[in-house]
Amino acid sequence: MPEPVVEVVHRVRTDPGRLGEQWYRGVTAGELSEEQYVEIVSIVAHVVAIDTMARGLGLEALPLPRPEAGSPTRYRPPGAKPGGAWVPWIEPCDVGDSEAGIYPTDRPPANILKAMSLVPEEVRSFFDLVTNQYLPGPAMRDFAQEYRAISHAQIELLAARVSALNRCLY
Amino acid sequence: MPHGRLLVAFAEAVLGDDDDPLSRTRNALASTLGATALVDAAGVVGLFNAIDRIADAAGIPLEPEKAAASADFRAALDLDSFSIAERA
Repeated sequence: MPEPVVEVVHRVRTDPGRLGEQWYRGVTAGELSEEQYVEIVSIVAHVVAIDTMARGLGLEALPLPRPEAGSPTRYRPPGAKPGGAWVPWIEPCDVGDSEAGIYPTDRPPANILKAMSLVPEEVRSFFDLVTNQYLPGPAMRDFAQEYRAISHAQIELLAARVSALNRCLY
Repeated sequence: MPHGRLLVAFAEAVLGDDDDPLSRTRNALASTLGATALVDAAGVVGLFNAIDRIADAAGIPLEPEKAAASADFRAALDLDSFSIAERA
């Protein structure tokens, strides 16, 4: 595996709270493209979400899927451009047909939704995990109803403690 | 909050390296809140352990409305030291 890929996987997995923009610019100035960076981050996130849940339940980590033959699409959304993050992203007004449905239609998308929009399929895939491991979008702020065996408040307590341990402000 | 301390202890144990407190808090959570609650709690811990990494790796800022709404307790808890703006 190329060294830049190993570098990104290692840093994102082991010490995300110390990632800096200078480091990001450095890794994407060489052989790693911004799109490849976003996809690698997404893959790490998918595996972390599932493996961490397995650890919490006392289960062995699921085996990784087998590689399949084929080529990456190398699709970069034409509407992606620099915004408020280190990575380029798509604003709602720039969503094209290929990115349709990645954002809610009834409110502005949160920055965490836009974070991986340079690779729209990663938004779809990861937020499918969000729906199942956390809450579906409309349920997140529906405090009149509980959707899990633990309450909204208990869910947010867990989320806040994990984020504090990871030193993540967002 | 009902069972807040137990939930926090569970989250800390999942992210920690020691299997003994994880086993204890897992069993306590299951016996106190039920198996479904344990699954839900593990799901949330897993998801946020991941989503934190996306936020930090993408360098996303806090939205202005969230920054305004959280200014007081961010200051009280010194949370801004976690900001990506604080990193090189």
